[in-house]
Amino acid sequence: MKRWRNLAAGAAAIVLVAACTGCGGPLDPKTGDPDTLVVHSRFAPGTYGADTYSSVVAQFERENPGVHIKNLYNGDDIFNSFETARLAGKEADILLINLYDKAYSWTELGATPPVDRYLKEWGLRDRVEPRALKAWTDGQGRLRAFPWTGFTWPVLVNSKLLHKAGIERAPRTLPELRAALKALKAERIPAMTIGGNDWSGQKFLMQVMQGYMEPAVAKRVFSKGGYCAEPQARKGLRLFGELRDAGLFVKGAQGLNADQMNADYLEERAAMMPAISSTIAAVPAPLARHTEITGFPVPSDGTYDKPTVYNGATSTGIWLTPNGAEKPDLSEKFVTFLYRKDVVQKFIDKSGYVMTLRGQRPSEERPLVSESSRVTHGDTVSEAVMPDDYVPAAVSTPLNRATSLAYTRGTGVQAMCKALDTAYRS
Amino acid sequence: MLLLPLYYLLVSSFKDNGDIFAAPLGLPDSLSLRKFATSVHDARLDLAVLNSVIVTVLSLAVILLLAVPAAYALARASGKVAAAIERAFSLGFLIPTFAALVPTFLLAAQLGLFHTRTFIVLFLPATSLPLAVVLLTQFMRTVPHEVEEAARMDGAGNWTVLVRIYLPMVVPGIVTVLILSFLAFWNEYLYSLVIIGPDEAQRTIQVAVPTLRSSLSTDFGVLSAGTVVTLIPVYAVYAVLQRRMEGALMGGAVKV
Repeated sequence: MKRWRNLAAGAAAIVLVAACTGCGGPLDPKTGDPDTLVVHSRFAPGTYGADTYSSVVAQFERENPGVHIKNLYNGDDIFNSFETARLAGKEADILLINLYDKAYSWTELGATPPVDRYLKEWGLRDRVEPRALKAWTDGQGRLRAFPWTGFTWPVLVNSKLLHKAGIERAPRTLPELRAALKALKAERIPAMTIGGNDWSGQKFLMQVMQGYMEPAVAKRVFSKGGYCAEPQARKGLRLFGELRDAGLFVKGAQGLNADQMNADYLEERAAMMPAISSTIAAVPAPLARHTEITGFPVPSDGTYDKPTVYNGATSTGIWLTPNGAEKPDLSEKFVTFLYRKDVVQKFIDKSGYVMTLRGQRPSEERPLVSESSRVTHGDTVSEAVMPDDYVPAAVSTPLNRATSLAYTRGTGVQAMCKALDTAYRS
Repeated sequence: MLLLPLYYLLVSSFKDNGDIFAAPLGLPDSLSLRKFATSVHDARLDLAVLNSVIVTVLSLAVILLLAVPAAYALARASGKVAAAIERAFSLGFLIPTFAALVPTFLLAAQLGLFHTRTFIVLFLPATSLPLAVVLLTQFMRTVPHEVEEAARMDGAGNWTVLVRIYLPMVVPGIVTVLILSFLAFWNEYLYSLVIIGPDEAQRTIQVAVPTLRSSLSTDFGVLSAGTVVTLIPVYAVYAVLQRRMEGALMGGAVKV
């Protein structure tokens, strides 16, 4: 009996020691190894761009013997995870995260220091595209983080499916789009796939609505709501409803999400899809060969004279945290490394990233992404106002929910705008 | 109906997104274990399972250590103080999980135990203690006084009565508490995410699996495989303990 008790006590002690291993370890950048830089990001293995990130981190460690990068990964919880760690003073040194949602308030609240002076002192200012600097600068003129990646968000069109319906080219005007919808319907080919139940559907609804909204009006309405009270928004929603009821979207679009949208297009079950650059990078070569890139048609009496696309510079930025600012040498080494031309080119070539840094060449391995950049920055499309830059953080999730209603056939303008306005009061 | 979600998860673990969305309940074309290997490798589920086992087993040990003596005392006591303490335990059910999050976080930070498993091992039993004490107290009240009196006449003290008389007779109650607490501890997400954090070396399985999901695109085959990995221990423990619980209940019924 005594032997068993001793054994049980020994086992408990071993487990307790194991449980406590790692307490206050590298996750506490203040007391941890001074040669370790803790980097918190979404680049979890298996996610988009993670392989490239992993290989450049290995390269950095090879080039800087003795320096170790400790990677922490979070999915969509990264914003909350960083904030609680910051409150406890145990945040990572560097964050690789997009400017979205709560992150808009971090610099103002002192959760992250502005990086203007580091950008200058570390000689990186000339590397950044001016539009990216502008996008990452807050109302007080403080640069929130080092701009790094951006995105393009055009419309992909499967020309093989269009040809099957007797359509020669991607529709660029509303009459062409209406004719295409009729022809595709006759061939039983779903016209456009969309995640009507999530962010992808929300962005597209806003894009179509902007067909009749001047940029200044769009910025005001996205910031404060008031869709029902704004005649331009109502007109845009009427256009959306008309196209929806004419059969623009796949069946059950109001219940779909972005993953189902991607699967529909990649499996060639739908002729069109609005696609952000990370999705474009995932289009397999055979499909890419018969994929056209364009904007979404706009009304002839509307705000824009060319089909619209979204385009932005607020994807992943390199954020310095207060803990990171206490390790200036290590942080400088890593940030300047991530800005280095050959390293940036790796992200462009291998993962099809759209970077906001100057002097890089387009990806040869991902020609569709290069084509999307060329089209997006060319003179055949117009750039619509990106809602994320204006929609308040607390509203973005309710707004996604409100979007779903707009994708339900037969929903009128009043019901759509009321749902959108309600999201701003929730 | 209970098997349908498990079937869906299992078949999805062998399919790509296109097949999952096109025919959710259809059989897979191949039985390759590639998705399982990817999920374990990408989210380091091996480490995460180990962390969850450490956290869960230690928390279960702590809860038994605290709940059994408390329930024993409450079951044998008859005064007003004991009744008030028992009611106080019952009030524990009224505290919503979210309400305790901020003070718990502050406590962890103050104690210097933020980003450690140690704090969670101490915290999780506190969340299950009300249920465990209330349940075990009821089970212990069913132990006949005559048996205890006979033991006392043979010279048994309080601890001997608890260990030799009460414990063997309330095994069904203990197993019930273990099952309920195991399910709660193993599946706990919010506090593990906030307190333990994202470090691969420490995070639990429930925090690790969601990293296989991304808002831009998700391989649902890999995610399903990861979810199946988290479910295996739950099903195994439930199967083993449930049989023991049923056996003990039947045995107890015959004795009483």
